[in-house]
Amino acid sequence: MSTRTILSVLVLALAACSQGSESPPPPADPARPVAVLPASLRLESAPSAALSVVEVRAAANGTEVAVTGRVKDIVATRAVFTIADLSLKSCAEPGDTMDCETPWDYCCEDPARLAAGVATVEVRSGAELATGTIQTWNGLDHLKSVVVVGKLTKDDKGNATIIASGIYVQS
Amino acid sequence: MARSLPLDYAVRNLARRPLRTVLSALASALVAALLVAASAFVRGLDSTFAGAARDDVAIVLSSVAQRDVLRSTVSAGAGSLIEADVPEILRVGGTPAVSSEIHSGTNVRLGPLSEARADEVAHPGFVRGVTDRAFLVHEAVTLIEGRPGRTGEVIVGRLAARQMGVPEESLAVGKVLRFEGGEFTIVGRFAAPGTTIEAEIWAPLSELRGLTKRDDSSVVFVRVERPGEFAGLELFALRRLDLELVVIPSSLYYQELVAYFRPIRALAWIMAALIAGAAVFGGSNALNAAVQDRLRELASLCAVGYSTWALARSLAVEALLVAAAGGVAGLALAKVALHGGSIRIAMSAFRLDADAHSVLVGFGGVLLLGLFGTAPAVIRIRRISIATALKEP
Repeated sequence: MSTRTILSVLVLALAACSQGSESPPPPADPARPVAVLPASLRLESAPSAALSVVEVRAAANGTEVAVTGRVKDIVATRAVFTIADLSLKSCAEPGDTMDCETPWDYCCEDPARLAAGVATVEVRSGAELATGTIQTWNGLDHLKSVVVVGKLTKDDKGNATIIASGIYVQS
Repeated sequence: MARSLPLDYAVRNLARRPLRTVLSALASALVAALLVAASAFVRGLDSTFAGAARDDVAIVLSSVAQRDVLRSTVSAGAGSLIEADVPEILRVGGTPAVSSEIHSGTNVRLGPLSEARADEVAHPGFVRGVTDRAFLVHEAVTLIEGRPGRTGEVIVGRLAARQMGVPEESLAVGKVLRFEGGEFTIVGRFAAPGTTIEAEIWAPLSELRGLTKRDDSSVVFVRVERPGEFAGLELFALRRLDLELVVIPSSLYYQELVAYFRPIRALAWIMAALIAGAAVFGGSNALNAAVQDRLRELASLCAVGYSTWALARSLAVEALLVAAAGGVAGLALAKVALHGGSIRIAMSAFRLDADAHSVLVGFGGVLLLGLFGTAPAVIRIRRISIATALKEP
């Protein structure tokens, strides 16, 4: 067998091996450690009668609410994110022709509607915010539909924050 | 061991056809100068935006402005709210490194209103409304003449004149500028090497707000204690949804600007490559013709024992000598042509600098091209038939 034939066989064998083996999962980004959150935070099923974000913003301060929306922004080093009302249009809707790299910023939406349809969700560990990002926790990511259960707090400017006690992430 | 032809054989050959040698060297010089200029342009463009980027500075701007600082409007009080709410902010001597600013592209007129002529020209300029805190955030800025401005006064970057397309002396300390209906005396000049800031005019924030009838700022620059520690800022923006803010690390902002100019950089390199390619083909043709002219001589050398590789090496030495001589002339030409030069781009400007990297690109490039240009001639020599060549007229 000539040297060329042996080399060809070796190259083919190596190529076959590389195709057959599974690629390892991508390593976690050390700059964005995922928050370690209590198991009780994860809801197995979506709570019934969840309100929309617009409705929650009109609810009274201090009430326990269940709110449904889509994940907008996610903080890199704290378990905090914002949710947008389901009626708002992200830049990744079917049929959207805009080539938007960050469709979760809802830049295609009317700013006034956007301002009235977004709330903040915070996950706390005791009195402090849980450290680490909540992105990838239980599949949570930008534009994922979620239902958040928690206590609503509002400031005098109308900003609504939900201190989450349970989160259901739609698959 | 194979015999090599002496170096002076290659040198003497160059002197046999001086006009062809000089023309080839001139072509090499032009290519070297062009490569240096292209490299200086690309590096200047990159470093201008990269220089303004800092790992510990973030830009807070309006979420609806789509990352355009000129379109952005944030509440005038946003800076104070950020100071009060974000613990990670750097404090210098107790003063928070938070700079509310107005960024404005405007028409600038030279001289006081009393000396205004009917046919005077308005020059496009970039004006930044700042407070003294801007110096805490933009560390690259150094006053090189005069002092910071107060009401009715401005300081100008050392590339501002170039950006506006006016003579350097018209933006000297003591001169007067008019914009947005106000009259400002230049009281200082600043440098901010390798940043876009160097092409700006800095005016007092409150005065610019009044003149432009704005009750807001364009952006807020925030410097934090530790690089990348922007979680507090992001939290602030997400909790104060009413302010409609977005936080962008300055490194990311300027990285995006660099990416925006990528096609221009690619175009510069493509142009340089095309011209270099034309020079290679021209040089290659000239060398091939030289081989054709000397076919009998080369065949004779083969007949007395020199290998075709020895002939090829000697030919490569000839080409490298011409390329090196032309390259040195090209570097000198580039150094003279680029000295003190700068390029206007959008609302900014940057310096062209024939630095060590650019010199290496120019000189190394021209040597490589010289070597590549010998390839057809070498192939011709390798295929030489001694018997046939000796019969050549």
